[in-house]
Amino acid sequence: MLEEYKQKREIIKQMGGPKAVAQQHERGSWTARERIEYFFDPDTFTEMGLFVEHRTTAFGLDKREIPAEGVITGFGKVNGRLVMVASEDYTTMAGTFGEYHGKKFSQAVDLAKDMGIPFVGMNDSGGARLQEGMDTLQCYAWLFRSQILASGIIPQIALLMGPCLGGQAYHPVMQDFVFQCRETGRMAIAGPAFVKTQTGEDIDLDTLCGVEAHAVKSGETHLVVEDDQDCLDKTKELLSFLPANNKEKPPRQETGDDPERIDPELDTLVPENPSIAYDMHDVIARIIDNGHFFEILKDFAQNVIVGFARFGGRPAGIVASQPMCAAGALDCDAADKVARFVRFCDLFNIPLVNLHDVPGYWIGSAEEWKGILRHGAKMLYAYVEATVPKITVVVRKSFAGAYTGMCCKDTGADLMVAWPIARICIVGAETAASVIFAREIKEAEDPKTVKAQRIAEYRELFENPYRAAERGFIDDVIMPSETRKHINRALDILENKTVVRPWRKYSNINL
Amino acid sequence: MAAIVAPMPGRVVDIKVKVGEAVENGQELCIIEAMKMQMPIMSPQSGVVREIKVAAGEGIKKGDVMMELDLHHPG
Repeated sequence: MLEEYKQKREIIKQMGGPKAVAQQHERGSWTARERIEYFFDPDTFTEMGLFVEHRTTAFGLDKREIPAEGVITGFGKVNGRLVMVASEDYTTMAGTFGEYHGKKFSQAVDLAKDMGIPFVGMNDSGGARLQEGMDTLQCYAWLFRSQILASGIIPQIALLMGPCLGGQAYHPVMQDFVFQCRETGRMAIAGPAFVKTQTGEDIDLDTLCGVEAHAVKSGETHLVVEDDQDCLDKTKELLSFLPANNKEKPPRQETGDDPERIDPELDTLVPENPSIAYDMHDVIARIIDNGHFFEILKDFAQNVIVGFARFGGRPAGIVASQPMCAAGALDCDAADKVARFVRFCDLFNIPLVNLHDVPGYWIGSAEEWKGILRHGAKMLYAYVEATVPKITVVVRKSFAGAYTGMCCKDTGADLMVAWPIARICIVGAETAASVIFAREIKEAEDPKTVKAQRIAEYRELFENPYRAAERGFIDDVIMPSETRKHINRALDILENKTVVRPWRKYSNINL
Repeated sequence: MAAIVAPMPGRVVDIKVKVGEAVENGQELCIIEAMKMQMPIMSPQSGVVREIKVAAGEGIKKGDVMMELDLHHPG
């Protein structure tokens, strides 16, 4: 009896057999079990549903063994913390998604939700198991339902390690983060063959849905990783910033970086001239613990930077303008990027640190017609509704709608400070002067001089941090070198922030 | 050949190169301005400036071709 037990397990664990495993390796990928082996701390993985089998009889499937139904599910520890996985096995009938494959998958998500531990999905599947007909479609629905009901309760991370094509691709995209392996990860609502027959468009798989397509164009891939090992390393790194569920705080770590550290370089790093660009990454690196920044969506909407870092060992989400790209002005894509990030942080008790150098939302027909107002509105909703600690630092510009949209005190910042070079203003002096004094300038003997005078007056009066400070719109004007100290002290006092609001089903955010 | 396209709508402030000039990877080709910010446009690779399609002071739309370069190492 024991022999039979051992033999049964052994056969299933060989997945699709030596030939299929060799092919998987030739593609540059690990197998589903090798990925699990690398991901979890040694000897901590507990598998569930090893013996699960499909029940399809059509098209000869009754004679077909599909070890573990082409997906390995279970839980284990990552750096000592519990995580649930579902790892698709491409060597077994191409990891196709059938009824029991889907059942295992969605049950893993349900259990992760009920136990309050993160879920990681390792996608590597040839798509729907069409031999099973509607049963396959039903199990897509199970999975979508499970993950949506788990959203906001546990962090969910999708790893595109192989293909994920067809309706199944809604699974990764609806998780909190999508990582995509550069050479092997592919995600699309339909593959090239289907696109060709239905629409006539001729396009290859990589162009349609490789890393360029999703990390740069669609904004659906949060992080491009080099291979399976890099992918799993980065997943562990991301998990280190996150709590296990929405009732916990993110784990604080000893980083050895003095929370009150002063950085004199910051006092001269940013050009005083507001029309000279610089790289905001340089500012971020100097204020966070050990310069360790986990940036996400770095190739999409580069006019804003979002990512995770630590302050005094506490994880925080950073939202920062990037003057190097499109003036750091907010367009539709940037607004979407910020809004979803802010909501993720709020769901999982991660404080937000906002760095402003923003001239406004993008104006003009191109963005207007794409709906900059409704996209920009997502940011306002996200920040106003977020109850986590929110700290804003005005590095240089904070103008117009972007002042409110990137979180000023009146849209939710608990503490807000500005650097001495800051310009906190409703509009720039040139625009303001040309509106207020339009008639005077037009009728003047020397319009140029009058215009220049009026601009200078407006600039002197309003384009600085002190008018805002006088009215209490900011809490202080600080030396740039002391930014880290101020953020850490703010996080200290906000550690136990609580907010109580009246019940409502949810807000009508401009989706 | 590589087209240098405007990454944002705005105005050309300055052209830093001439037709026929050899440029290095990362060399400043021109400066554009929008939303109160000047933005240097760099050469994506080394090559030679074949054509300049804009002049200082001119308005540009996102995606407008501002220059054409012949690359030293195409592809």
